[in-house]
Amino acid sequence: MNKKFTKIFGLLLVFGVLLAACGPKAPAATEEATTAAPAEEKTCKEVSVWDTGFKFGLGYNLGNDTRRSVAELLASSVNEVNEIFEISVTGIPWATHLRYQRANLYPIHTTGWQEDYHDPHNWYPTYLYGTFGSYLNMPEEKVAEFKALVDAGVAESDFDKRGVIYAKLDQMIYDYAPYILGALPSGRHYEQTSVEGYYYNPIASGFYFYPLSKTAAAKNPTTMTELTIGEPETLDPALAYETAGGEIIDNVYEGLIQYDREKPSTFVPALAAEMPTISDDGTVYTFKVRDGVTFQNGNDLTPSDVAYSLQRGLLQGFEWVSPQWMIWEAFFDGVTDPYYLVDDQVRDTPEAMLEADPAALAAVCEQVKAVIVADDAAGTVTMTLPRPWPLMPILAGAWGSVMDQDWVIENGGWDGSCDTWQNFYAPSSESHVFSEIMNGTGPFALESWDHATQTITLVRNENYWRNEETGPAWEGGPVGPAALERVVVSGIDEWGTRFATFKAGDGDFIGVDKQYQTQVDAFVGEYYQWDAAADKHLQSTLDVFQEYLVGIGSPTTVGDGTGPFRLFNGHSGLSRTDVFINELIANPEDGGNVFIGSGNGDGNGIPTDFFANEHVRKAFNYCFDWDTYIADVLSGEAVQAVSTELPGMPGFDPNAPHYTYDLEKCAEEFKLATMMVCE
Amino acid sequence: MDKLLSVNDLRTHFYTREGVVHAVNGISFDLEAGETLGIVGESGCGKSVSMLSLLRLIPQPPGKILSGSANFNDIDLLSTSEDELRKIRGAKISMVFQDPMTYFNPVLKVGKQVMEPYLLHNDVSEKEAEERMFEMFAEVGISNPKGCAEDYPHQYSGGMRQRAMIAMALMCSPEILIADEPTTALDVTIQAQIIDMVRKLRDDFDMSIIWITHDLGIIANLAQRVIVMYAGYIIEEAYVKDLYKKPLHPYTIGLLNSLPRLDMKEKEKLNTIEGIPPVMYKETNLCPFAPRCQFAIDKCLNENPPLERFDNKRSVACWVDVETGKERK
Amino acid sequence: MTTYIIRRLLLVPLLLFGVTILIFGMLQFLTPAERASLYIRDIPKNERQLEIIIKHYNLNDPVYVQYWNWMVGKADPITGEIHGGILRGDFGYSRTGSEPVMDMIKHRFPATLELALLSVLPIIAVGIWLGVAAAVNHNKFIDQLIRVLSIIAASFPVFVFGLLLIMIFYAKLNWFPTGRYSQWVLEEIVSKQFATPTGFMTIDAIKAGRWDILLDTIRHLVLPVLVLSYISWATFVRVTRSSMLEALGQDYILTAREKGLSENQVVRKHALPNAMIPVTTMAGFTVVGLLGGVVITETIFNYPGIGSAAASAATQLDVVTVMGFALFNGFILIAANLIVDVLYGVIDPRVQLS
Repeated sequence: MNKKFTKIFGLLLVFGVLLAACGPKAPAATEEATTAAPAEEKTCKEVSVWDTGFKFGLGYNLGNDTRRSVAELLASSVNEVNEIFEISVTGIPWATHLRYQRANLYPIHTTGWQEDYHDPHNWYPTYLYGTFGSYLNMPEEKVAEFKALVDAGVAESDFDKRGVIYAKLDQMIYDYAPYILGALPSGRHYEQTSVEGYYYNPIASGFYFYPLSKTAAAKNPTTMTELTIGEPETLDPALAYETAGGEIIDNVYEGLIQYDREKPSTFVPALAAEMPTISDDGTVYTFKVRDGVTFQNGNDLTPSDVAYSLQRGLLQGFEWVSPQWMIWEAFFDGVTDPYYLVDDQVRDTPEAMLEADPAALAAVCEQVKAVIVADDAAGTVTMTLPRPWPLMPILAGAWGSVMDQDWVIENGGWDGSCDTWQNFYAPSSESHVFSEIMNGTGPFALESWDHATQTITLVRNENYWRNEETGPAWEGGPVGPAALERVVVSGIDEWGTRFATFKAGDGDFIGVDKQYQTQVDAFVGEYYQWDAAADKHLQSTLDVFQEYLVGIGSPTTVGDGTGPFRLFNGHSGLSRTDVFINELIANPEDGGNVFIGSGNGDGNGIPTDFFANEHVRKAFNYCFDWDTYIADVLSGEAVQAVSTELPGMPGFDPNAPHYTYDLEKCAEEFKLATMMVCE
Repeated sequence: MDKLLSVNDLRTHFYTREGVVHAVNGISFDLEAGETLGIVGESGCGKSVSMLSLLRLIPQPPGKILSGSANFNDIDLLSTSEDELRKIRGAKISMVFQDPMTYFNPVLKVGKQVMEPYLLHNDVSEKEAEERMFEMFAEVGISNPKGCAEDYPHQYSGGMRQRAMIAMALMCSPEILIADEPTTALDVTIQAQIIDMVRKLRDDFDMSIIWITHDLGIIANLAQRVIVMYAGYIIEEAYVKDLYKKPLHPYTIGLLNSLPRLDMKEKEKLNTIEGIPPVMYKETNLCPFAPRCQFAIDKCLNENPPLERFDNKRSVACWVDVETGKERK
Repeated sequence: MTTYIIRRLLLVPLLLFGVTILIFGMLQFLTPAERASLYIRDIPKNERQLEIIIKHYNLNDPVYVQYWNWMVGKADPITGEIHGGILRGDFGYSRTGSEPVMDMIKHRFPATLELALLSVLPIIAVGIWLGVAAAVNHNKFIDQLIRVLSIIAASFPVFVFGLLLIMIFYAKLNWFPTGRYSQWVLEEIVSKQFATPTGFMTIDAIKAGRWDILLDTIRHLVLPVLVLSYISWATFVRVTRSSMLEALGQDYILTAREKGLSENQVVRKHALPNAMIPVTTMAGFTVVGLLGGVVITETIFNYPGIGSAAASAATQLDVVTVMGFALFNGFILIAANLIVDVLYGVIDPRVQLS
């Protein structure tokens, strides 16, 4: 027996070592993209795209079916127009995908964006010269033109005036066709008929439970249960950057302002006593902090707490992992993380930050403290921006939440001094205390978070500050302690089980993936349809619902009205998949670019500046089949996007000039297009 | 002496996929009280099956006892109720088997198994059963009875195991002990010891014994009367002395001739009976031994000779008078 | 016997060491970028996050350095102390569980253990009962029926059966909910009104005299136990039946009958003890399998055991957690195998453990 075990162990050892030794190491770096710069002179001539034809590859991140479908639709339409136009669609694992994206290797690729705050400024900069804009490689002069308008837009505070600017921007984008806009999918909300008070706010991370309640006939009349998937990553408002965490934070913590019920761009005071005064040039915001508010641990709210919370967030940083980059951008032009201000080194890890010169570090902290100033005596907080910026929508997010400084320090957090902030920079989830504990001013407190069952339980805050005196947040809104005694957010990943729980009455809200909607639809007893004109859901009939289902090809037959569930249907979400066109494709010397074929306008590939030709870009826009995309990929539940920004934003016009699927026009544009072929 | 057991026309068949095996074809015999009856025959002649049939221990299916009666103490063993039969099994009629290793339960202690029939058939306490067991162990010559009772069968030697099995069979002082080749698997010296022991016990307990064997030597040593079986039939019956002195059936003659004798010459070949015994797939209309018989006449191949009874408890099933070689009158 | 056990236990660390090398070696097939992506929850907003992860976890370091760090730990940048490492009992941090892997195991294993142990009884009892019934009534109607049911049970997919039960008994009838306990019980646990010292809901409820909690726990256990049982019944019944048939065909059964024992007594006292030997080893392996965390059952019933934890970790590519669970599972398997072997030696007097 000994011999046998020794043999097995020996084999394992050898096998493992072999694996380790033979496995691939770091890839041959294509990190730094170098464009093909041939030293020799080449003779190039211009040829017609239509007559020569082309071949190239279109990439999407593997596993994302929506993006794959978009790519395939485009490829087939283009090929239909002219059979010598060949596009191959490839799925790339997303780690590699991200690398390719950044290295500008993709001629065209699909990717998506979900907005962080509801303002055109979260879309246009990103698309034109930000993260996504960098994939477009537009000529500098064009970018400058766009940027000028974008800057003007954000500097303007009047809604209508902004609208004019963004409308102009949309026209420019239509004329230039730098990318192809996709479609805005609409969403659904299912709930038990015993729920009362629901409304839809597109920008909210999740549900806001304060105004909600249940009828007495419900199974658990004082506990609201939301059935969802997974659980939050962290409950630290300065760190949380996904909707699961955001939802909890929005119910337990509060910021200076909050959304006016269902409106995503209108705000009402929360911890601010009133809306802030803004200086004429739009750079100084003065907030009066409300009196008599206590945190859930009993401590009083002071302006220092407000300033501390925002400073803590900024200094915790963690670019792109946390939402702090938005706040950094607002307060410091072009800066998205504290390390940019320290010195010229890239200090984006805690270890690197700790190695910096303490004086430099302290200086950064002072800079942050200088722009967010609390005056406890006067009861105000003053924020100073370098230039006008949409600060309000940013502050309304979960990352604008106010924490109790004393409580944070008690639990091992930053003490507020400029000598120690670097010890708290870029925390990893592992040791982060504030991921698991909460102490806010909001209508609910965190009772427990059971990771094993993925259940978060919130309990009513009996000392919630809103009362008859302070008045409700919006007209007709609730005051006093919440109607609900408890809120339970339960992650049940398995659909069958989640649905059974919902049917058993142990869940009030449920997250339903598209493919399962037909199962739930049969049990809908009340139907609400989104009305674009009224900009909200209006109650409708089950006959209308049946019509709708038939329209999108669903096989479900609706019930007779006795069904236990209620459906709110047709509201738009805030995410969109679009197609980005690269005007200057990278073609590194070593290995080349697999997507561009021969790299030449000879019919077997595309030259790297293929898409610099406006007609090519427009042709692709005309060749995108929105109807099929919406019908097949989005189950008919979407609307073609006609603008970079979203409906409801300043300047949005559903009838703005936009491209439509037109193979003839596509062919026309291709016929006008030329490219270079070089020997 | 009165007849203790009277078996009449016992017929047992086995229904298998290859056909119906006629294992026991209408045998009849008696057993007197205090008598030791030997049953001799080759493997497959039906001797074990007939004994198992008596106690209805044949698995039915695939076996079936078709006809017959076995009268024991005014009870017909073959037709009485299962409950009645169980009272007899192990108590009034006991069996000892050939290979005690497989016939003992390997996971139960020997003592427990030996006590079992006694506890079952008598309303006694375990202590009393234990005492009885130690008595029996002493009778069969097992030293250290307490220690041995705690052991498992695989810890015994072959001879000890057989002694224990015999002890087990005798726990309830049965009237009949049926021994199915109990010494075949043992070496000769142990065999002799066991035979001696059995003889002594027979006298002490005053029991009748049916001893099945293919070893004629044992018969000579132990039995008073003997039955010879072939192919499911009884072909000869006699007192032992008579059989050895004057065998009537050609098969018996062959058997006796094949015994090695002390006064044989050194390089003399052993006598054998040519051929192998048949498996009976059907009722025969010929003498089952005829194909191998050196005395066979035409009649033997056409008619199956019935068992003819003579005086002095002599019977034989054969057409031929071996002395003359012609048909018997 | 004791030397045997000690010798077997000594091999445990060697085997586990081999397992760690195997797992770690397989990971090396991925590039650092791909390995980094395993540490991130969701597709990041920007690829800079990847680089940060690679730096943080030293994924560009040579293999043996990474292995060393994994086994023995790294120095804390601020204090300079060495933290972590498998050998220190730190299996790393679980991204999907939001807690250290070791804590995750500690929190979730008792649930699986409870479910497994409570399933063992019905599995064995009903399995043996049916198997014996089938063997004793060999080829009769009962036997055929049991064999057919066995085959059906073996072929019926777990998730279909489980979901079917949930739909009927929970969604429709509301008798047996999913999960481990109701919301109100969770609240009592969190508020410390109900203590769970052993981690077993049933034992703790009985200890505290909380019959309402015990009832709630049992209600939640009925369906998962049923699902776990029926899978094992198929094999159990077949093995019991065949080993019982074999025992009944042995010579000592004839002896037992010959002694005058009733058929019932023969089966119970003589056949069963012999038939149970292979069945016991089967029972041992069944328990081992159950302890591994029955993934599908736990996932369907939303039962917070290590099976569902491992499953969600695997689907979300949380390698750290999966590696930790693999090691833990390895240990359990080795221990359970050892127990089964020892048990075998105890039950069958003919076996000598060398």
